[in-house]
Amino acid sequence: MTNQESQNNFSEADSAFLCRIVFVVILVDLFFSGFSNTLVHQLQSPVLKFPYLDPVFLLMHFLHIPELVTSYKLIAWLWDFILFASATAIIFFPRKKWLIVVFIIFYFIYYIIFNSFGAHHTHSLVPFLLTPVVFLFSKKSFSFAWQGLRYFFLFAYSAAFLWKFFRFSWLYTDQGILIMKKNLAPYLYFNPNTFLASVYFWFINHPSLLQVLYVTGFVMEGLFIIGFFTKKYDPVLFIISLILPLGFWFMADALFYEMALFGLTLLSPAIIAKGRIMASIPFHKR
Amino acid sequence: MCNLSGFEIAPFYVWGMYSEREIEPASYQIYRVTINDKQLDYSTGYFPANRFFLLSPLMYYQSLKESGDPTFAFLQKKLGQNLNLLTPYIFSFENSAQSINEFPDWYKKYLEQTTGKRIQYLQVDVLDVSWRKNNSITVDSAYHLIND
Repeated sequence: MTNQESQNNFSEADSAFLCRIVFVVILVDLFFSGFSNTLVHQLQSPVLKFPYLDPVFLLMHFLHIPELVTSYKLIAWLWDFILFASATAIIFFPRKKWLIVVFIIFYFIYYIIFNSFGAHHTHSLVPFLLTPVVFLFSKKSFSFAWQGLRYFFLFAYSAAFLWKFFRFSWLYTDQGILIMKKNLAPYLYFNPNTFLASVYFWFINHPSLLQVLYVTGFVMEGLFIIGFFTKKYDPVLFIISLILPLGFWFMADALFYEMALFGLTLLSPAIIAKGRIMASIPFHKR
Repeated sequence: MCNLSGFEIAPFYVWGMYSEREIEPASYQIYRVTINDKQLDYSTGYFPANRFFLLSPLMYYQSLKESGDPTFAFLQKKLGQNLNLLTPYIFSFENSAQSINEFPDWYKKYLEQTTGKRIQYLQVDVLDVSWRKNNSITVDSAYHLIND
């Protein structure tokens, strides 16, 4: 292996380390789901479905899979148990691909249930659904699959930039304030006297600053296009990938923290290797 | 190409967040949820996913009651007369009148799950609100969505 190749490729130990990081994040999020009352057994057999125009959702409802899983308490509990158990087992045995397959199948159905019975096809769970797939690739192909995920991530934010660019939303001077007014109305109606409310009201009284924030976010999304041509600025893009979810939270009361998981793809193999050594995690090939 | 045309197949979505032009409406709609005569402040103290499940199905219920099922309308528009061929299967995709009627009971159960309280009485109002210049939001009108 040449020096250049070794800089771009992950060792087996590093890919196992990445797998562990990803599944620790997923496991923590599953606990959040428990606190959020959005695990399958907590949904109380929902009655309204929203397959809309998506063929995958239409197929799943045609097969009655979401209804079957949510209607029976025992199956719903079993579903949640397998999600937790498989995610936990993968942290200990990151090389057991069958465990990852089990997790992906169960999480995929959970993803359909969450979005269909939640009546909105959210983007937020996509990183948890797609990232585990790359750990199914062979040792040789893993680095390519990981790069593929990096390009998907670059595409997501670049597309967000391009949609705004071609819809000219960045030129409408009231775009920022109208996004905030629409999304923060419930919070400010119920809590007009908190410190955070005073911050929001201050910004609402200074709409040009909100427009600056909106355009700043738009430009930050556009910077991801650079990633298609060079990896030189990946550390900068990594930091931006952490800042953007905070921006969405502030401007629109929507916390897409799951997107930060994709940000891992912007870290070089050298940084991951250093992180693994610092964490001193032993690796057993079995 | 699918992305450009706005066509989505899960999990490959159109990443166009907040790219559509925002038009200032005459009023904004918010929901007032009252449980056992006490107002629920769902905007604080709940994880984002919890808030999502407290609000999004409620908005969907309101739209189903007011404008019908969007999935059924889409299939009808695309398939025309051929929709009859799907009649035996359409219940798989469509929200029936029965399931729409069952929603208030489900919502009550989900609120009990979320709040940990036994609910004797549930009322959900849709409030039309507008922004005032003195840093306040005022209610212009309200109507009952659920009164159970």
